[in-house]
Amino acid sequence: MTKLYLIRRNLETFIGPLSAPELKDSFQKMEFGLQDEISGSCGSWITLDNTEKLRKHYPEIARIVLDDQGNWAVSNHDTSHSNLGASSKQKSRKKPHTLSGLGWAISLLVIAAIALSSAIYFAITGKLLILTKEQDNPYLFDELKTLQDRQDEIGLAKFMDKNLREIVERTTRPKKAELQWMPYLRSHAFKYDGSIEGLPHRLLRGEGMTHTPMDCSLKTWNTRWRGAIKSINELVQQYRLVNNHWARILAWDPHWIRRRDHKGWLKGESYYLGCTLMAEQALKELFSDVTLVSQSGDWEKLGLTKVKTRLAWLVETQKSGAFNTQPTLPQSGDLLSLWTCYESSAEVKHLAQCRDSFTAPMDETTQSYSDDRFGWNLLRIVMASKTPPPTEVLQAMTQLLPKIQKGDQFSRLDYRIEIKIWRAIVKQPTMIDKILEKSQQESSEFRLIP
Amino acid sequence: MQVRMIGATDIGRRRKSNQDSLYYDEPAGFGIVADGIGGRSGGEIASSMAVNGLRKAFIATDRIRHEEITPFLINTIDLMNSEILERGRREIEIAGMGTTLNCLMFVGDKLHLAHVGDSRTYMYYKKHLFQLTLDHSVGNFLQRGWLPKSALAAGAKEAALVRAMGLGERCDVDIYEVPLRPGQIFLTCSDGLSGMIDDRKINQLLSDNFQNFEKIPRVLIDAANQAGGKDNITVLISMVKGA
Repeated sequence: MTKLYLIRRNLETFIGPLSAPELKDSFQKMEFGLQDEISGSCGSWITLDNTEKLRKHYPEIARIVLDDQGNWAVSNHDTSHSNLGASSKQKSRKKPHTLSGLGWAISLLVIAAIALSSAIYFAITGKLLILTKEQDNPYLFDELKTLQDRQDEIGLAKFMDKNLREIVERTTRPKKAELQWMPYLRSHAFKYDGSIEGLPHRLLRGEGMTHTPMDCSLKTWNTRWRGAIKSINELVQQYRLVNNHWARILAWDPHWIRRRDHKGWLKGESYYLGCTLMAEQALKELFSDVTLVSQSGDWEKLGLTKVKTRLAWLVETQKSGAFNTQPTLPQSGDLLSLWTCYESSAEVKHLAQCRDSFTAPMDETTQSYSDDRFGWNLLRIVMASKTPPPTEVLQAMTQLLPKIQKGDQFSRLDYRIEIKIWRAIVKQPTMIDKILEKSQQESSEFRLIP
Repeated sequence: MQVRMIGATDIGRRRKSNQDSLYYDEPAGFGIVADGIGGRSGGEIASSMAVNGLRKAFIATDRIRHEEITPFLINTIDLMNSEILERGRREIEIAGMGTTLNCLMFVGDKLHLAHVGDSRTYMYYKKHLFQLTLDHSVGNFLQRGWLPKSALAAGAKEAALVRAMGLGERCDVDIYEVPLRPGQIFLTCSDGLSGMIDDRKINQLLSDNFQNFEKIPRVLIDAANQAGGKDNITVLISMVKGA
């Protein structure tokens, strides 16, 4: 029976089952790489770059992979138990005792001398680096930190472009993954198209982010918007909470995002911002697609211009944190502009103006959701003031409290910290300062913003 | 590809109740195995909530395209996770309940597999058996360097779950895509099977009963019971028949 193997790529997809020759062929076609895992029947999963374990469990595969990598890769590892070692032993058995002890010693001396002179030659000519490529440059990260400390953005971009492949390789190693690179890779990805070849979207997104789209690349957003064109008005002008990624992103609360410390991202950046940027960019590209205009009619009628305005607001607020003190009142019947109006209000009276100026009837669910959004922004204004809220505001907060306990089921942003603060303020409004201080102490990811 | 499915669940020999849940719909190529965690009736409730939630969401979905499957699975599992947590908060006697989950969707020439916890899905092909899913256990996470030893409480067991539905506000799900070939068998099971008989034995039993597809779940369950039956045992078999 031919032995079969299965390749697991990025803990997401599989290749096979394959026989050893098929596997060799697939490897040579670069359908998988050393960072991927292999399993034989009833065997354990082993990463292909773990040569020691690979030789032990799947020696026939080690031969294929290491032969293909060339001798330099083999020489980097202990070959005393290797099959390559075994095959050379077999060869030497065919001609036993052809060298005496003295002969061995002389031969070894000659080999050592050749190796030494070759090393000197290669070092002088700069070729040694190529031959010893398997040794990681231990100073690579320091180089990057220096550029960052100097705030040399052009240098940083050049550095990332030049070393991208190596950084991705280091970051995606199943063992000893160098995760310190992740913030830089993420930043790099979202400066361009929201993806990096060889880096799974799941890794780019990060842990604990399942409420966000797995793939926020420009390419996917292009497809997403094209698929959404006909249903955008359901949200924008018919006020139905469409259960789709594009709709949920439009409902993201930029202040909630600003109040979070986004671990694994450079300062001021986050997956939310990256995702919104790509959505905005893809929408701009959609607007420039002349063929789509003739197919789909007027952008305004489709609600796309309102989506564009909303995205621009979300990007701007996340980037700069700046928002108007005198918000623009919502356009007639534009749900997105109502949300933006709430978010741009810096005073309770402005919030109320936003709400009162939107007169179009909504269904119960959307009305309830919009009331919640009013509530989150009311809390934001109260938190920013850091003073006990006036009686009428406190009354409104008390009334809204049972409703907002559910959190935001549509955008799925986690409002538990805000709910806790809300409860505490309603209970002890005069202690607002201490409540806010405590909330920051209790959660390392939460920060108060003006 | 056409897929045939058959499953069975068994209380085992030691437990007083069966906290596993199983659902499959052969014509739709859709199957779920969940293994509940939690004392009293909590585990049973959590696993049935997960299975029913996914089942209902799937039924409510019209034709689903490849690119919609991952968001569908992630969002539905996320929603069910919130509901399990919420119910645990409301009812003190079942607080802390949770469940593992393996959900299989056969669409076109691919299997889409969502996985949380330590229930497993294996692929059997030409007398070879491969475990597709990675158990979300402390041991595995430590070994892969995903969990620092310092983060562990003293005495934490290697088999303890790092991920499961109901454990926290966020439920990270592994989603796998597996290319289909005629003759493949996918075995999805709770740890009542994989914890009682080893992979070689499972492989042997599948090889011996390959021609008697309908009997496979019962054969595997009997073997787990013969080995002690310490936990509830659930087995779902999906066989790829070709176009």
